[in-house]
Amino acid sequence: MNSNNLNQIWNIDPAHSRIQFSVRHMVISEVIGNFKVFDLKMKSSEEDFSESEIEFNIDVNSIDTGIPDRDAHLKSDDFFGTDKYETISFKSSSLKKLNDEQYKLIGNLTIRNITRPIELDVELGGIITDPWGNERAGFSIRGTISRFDYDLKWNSLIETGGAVVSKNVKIICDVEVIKQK
Amino acid sequence: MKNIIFALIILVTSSLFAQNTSWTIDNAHSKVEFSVTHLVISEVTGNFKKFDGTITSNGNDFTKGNIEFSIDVNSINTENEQRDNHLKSDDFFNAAKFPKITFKGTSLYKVNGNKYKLKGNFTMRDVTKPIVLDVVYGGTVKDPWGNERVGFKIMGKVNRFDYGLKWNNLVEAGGAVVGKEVTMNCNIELIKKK
Repeated sequence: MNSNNLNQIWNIDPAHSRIQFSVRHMVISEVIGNFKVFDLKMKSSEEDFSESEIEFNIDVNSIDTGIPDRDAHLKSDDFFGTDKYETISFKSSSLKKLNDEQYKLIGNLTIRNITRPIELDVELGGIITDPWGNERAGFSIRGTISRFDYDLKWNSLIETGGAVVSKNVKIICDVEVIKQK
Repeated sequence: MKNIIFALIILVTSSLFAQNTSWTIDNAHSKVEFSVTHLVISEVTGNFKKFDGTITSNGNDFTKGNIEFSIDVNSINTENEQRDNHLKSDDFFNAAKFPKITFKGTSLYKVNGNKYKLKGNFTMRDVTKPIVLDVVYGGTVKDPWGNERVGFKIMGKVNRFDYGLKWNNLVEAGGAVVGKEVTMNCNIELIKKK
């Protein structure tokens, strides 16, 4: 892949993007949270998005699950340890087009300074010119990680042995990017 | 003989008590979310932070109970104050005049496995229409404090134009800035009242 072809930069529009995650609570339900502060940059070729490079950074202190006590617990060393590890980051190594809309995104995810390769499913929603003349593209990004792989180790169990908080975490991102002029 | 009669009385009494079991929503482990298409190309999601419900069942059988939800429109949150204020205006919800979104269930029936259909009347602004929601039953557990908990996922779609949420700017190519179809996605955890 020739990086020199990736001349087009796209910047995230945070007002129309979300970085969410969900876990199973006590086996029976899904609890959802999100990160309010994040940045994402994409470099693509002039023609299309295949072989693009994507980088995003998330401010872990911006975590929001709607309950301050829970957010504080998540920031503690039981989970993210934000005293020491303030950023979650992702750097792509490849974005492969599977068909008109679907892509496979492979890259390295770093949480608590632990870096591991992950695969994410990406769907292109389309490209459009907005009422202000900017070109925008929309993507959904989905994947699952095991938080134990990144040392988010807290693991209380209920009577029957199920986890209070599941080890698997679903990544749910919908992003809108604006083409840099 | 006395023991048998005693046992029968207990059995009959406990089955009577099993009817109309009440449940409260654990807001800390529940979320009422919605999403719409933005500029045709992406999905924008928001939620309502304040909601409540009266849910009853016959023991753990929710198909023989009652489900009613109420959502506080002023608690809408799309992580953007300007947008939230626009949504509360008459262009969309008119939260000042119509502060609640409500759902009154009329029937819940099993489709297969853990999938159900929930029928009821859905009210936004001053319009009430029948809708059918998809429900997935997540299971029942006893939590570390001895409470019985049940989890559900409730999903559905509505056309906001049907309810008077009429704002509809278009882009040059004709597509809507904000889609008319709204997808609702709720994760609800209930605690059995003792």
